[in-house]
Amino acid sequence: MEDKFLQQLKKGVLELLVLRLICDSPSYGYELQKRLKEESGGLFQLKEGTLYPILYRLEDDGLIESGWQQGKGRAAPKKIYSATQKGRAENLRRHALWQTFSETVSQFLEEKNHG
Amino acid sequence: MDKEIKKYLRSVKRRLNLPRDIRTRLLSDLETTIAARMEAGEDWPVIRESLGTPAQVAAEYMEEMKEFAYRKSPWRMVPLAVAVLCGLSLLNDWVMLGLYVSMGFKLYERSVGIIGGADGPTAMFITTRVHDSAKIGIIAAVFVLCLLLYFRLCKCKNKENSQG
Repeated sequence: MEDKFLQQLKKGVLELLVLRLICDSPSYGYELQKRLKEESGGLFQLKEGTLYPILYRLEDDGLIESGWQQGKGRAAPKKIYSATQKGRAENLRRHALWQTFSETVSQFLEEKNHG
Repeated sequence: MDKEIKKYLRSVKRRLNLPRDIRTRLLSDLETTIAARMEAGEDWPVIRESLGTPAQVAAEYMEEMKEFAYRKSPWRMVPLAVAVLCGLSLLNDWVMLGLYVSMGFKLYERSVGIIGGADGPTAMFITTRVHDSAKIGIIAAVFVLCLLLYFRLCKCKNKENSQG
């Protein structure tokens, strides 16, 4: 069972990371899982049941859109997600927000004594 | 697609207590993942092992999609109560019908029910139609409608859904 605090932290940034990945390059669910895991050094290992609801919400909010990519030859078509205009703007906004947030928190924790 | 995979997906779908469009979207992602992994050379048993049982997968989805889940409206108890009363009334009619018939009354007769000894001082006469088909028909109709309403109210969309 994973550390509860860590779980909470992860939960807070998941959407941020997934949106960023899709903005970088359109992907389907499984590919996003792999990229997330690799580029986070294994920190983010999402199960399907966690990732797909995130994709659902992002799509519902108009930040990403889905399309079907024809498979090569007899391969089955895949559902691909790509970022919308609104999604890219939101992605940048969230990045900036994260910067401010993490800097503030780090600074706060670095203070020697809050007594 | 493999029969087993279809069966697996159907099992997951069955356990998702979500509106149809949401279910479809979530399942299409799962389908794509399975297809992609098989293309990459993985065997279905391996994929299935890593996904988990349909129950587990569905539970994970439901955990994340709680606000979209169907909920039972508390109002459903109202039609249920009415349906129960109607049902009891119908049952009563059915029993009384059987009783009268067994006592020898014909169905179309206006019958007289007797309380107390027929010739005693406590005799009371009540008149009731043996077979009031109009009344029974109406009650039966209300019964059915209330049951339908009850089942409809067992599957309501959550309030936040409507802004969708």
